[in-house]
Amino acid sequence: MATKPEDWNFPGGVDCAYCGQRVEVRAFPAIQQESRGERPEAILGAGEAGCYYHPQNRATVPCDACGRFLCALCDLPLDGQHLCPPCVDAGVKGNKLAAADTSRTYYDSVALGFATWPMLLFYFSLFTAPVALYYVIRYWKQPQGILPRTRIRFVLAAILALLQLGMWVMIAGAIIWQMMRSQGGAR
Amino acid sequence: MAAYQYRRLLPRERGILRYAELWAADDHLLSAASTRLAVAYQRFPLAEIQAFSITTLPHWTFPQLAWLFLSAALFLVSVLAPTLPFLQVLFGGLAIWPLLLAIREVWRGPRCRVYIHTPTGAHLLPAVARQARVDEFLAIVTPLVEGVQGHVERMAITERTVEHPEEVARQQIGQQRGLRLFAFGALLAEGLFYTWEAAYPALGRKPEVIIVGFGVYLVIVIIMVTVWRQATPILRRDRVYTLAGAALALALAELVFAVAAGFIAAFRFGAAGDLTWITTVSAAWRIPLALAALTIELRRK
Repeated sequence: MATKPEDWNFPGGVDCAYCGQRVEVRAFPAIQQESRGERPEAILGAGEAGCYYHPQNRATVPCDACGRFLCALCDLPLDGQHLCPPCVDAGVKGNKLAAADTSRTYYDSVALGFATWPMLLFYFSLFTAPVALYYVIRYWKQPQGILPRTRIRFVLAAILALLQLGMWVMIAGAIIWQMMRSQGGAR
Repeated sequence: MAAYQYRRLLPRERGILRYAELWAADDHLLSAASTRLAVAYQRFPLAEIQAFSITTLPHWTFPQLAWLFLSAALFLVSVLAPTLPFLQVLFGGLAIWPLLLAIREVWRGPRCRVYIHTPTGAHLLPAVARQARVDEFLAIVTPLVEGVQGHVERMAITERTVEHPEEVARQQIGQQRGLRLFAFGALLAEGLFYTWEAAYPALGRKPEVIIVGFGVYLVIVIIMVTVWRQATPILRRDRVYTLAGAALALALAELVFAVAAGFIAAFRFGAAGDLTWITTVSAAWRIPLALAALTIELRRK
């Protein structure tokens, strides 16, 4: 930050000396702390347990997932648990770690988009309505994300898609009935 | 997977295709940025937050003026289609939406950027994008962080910078000179173009001449706005920006009057209104202003 420390925590902020724009900095005690890495301790006696991945280091905690002893270097605290690197990797791949959950796809919005936007050009709805229904059925039970979200979009998408399909069925039925009438009249 | 209970801290910050939210759990903040089809999360442990920095952005930004010019362009298209009333109504109706977006942009007040500083770096918080929301943000989040870390008074002076702000501003003025020369020269050329067009009104009334002239004019104004937006308050006190700003303000006023006059004339008489007298009067003022700005810029060492 280009703002000087004496201007931090100044109510209303100050004008930046370089660009003249108003800048406000709200600092907290963590800014004064130096970040220090944990150093593992060496095993001193035969009775001490060693780390599974570094046998020469003293174990401090067991992994909450696999139970292996871990030194300070291998201990990865996440979501209130102590985990080893392979368990973190498995948790990320298996989508079991909340801290590793960094993105989600909103399939309900995708389904609603397939059910609504093609109505601008009605003919596309013949193909997009089944796609919308597929998304509703396929992803109905999938967790929506870590933030509160209802399934109203899935419901709306299903209703619209069914209405569109119903309309296409009626159109097809009307065409077939008309063809049958014209053939009967020709006879 | 451990589940956190989140509570929303601020109302959703909405864009056209995106929105951003700020939530809080017991031990961390969660920033969620969504494209409406997907969402990306960023977590910031309360114990690791070092600082928030809030920078106010210039009030007039490119998005506001882009919406205004788009609206004006659509109005002009509706004016140039006198024989097709349907297109007149269509484009005239479409022109209302960017105008409303521009008004909404101005109504919501100046923008700002909020960065959250942690040991891993500075991260933009998209959920706080308006200066009007900053006080609410600080009032809610500061107690959360201080509840974990404690409070710290204003720092003692540790080191002062020695660079003089005026010297820094002079260095910045020397940069982007080529872009300013191009913009001021183009503004001057545009004023001369409309003056020449006023001398030959038959040529000036041709739709293709009007469309090309408007297109060139639009590009010039957008470049001018971009140059202006890049200028800091210190640079804007410089004479060349004052003169160019006055020329730009006249150009904008001319555009608004011309579009409004043409729109009214098209609906009243069924043909595009005569715009040359408006552009001539405005060009008479714009030419000397642009010439002065260009001269100062060329003589600058």
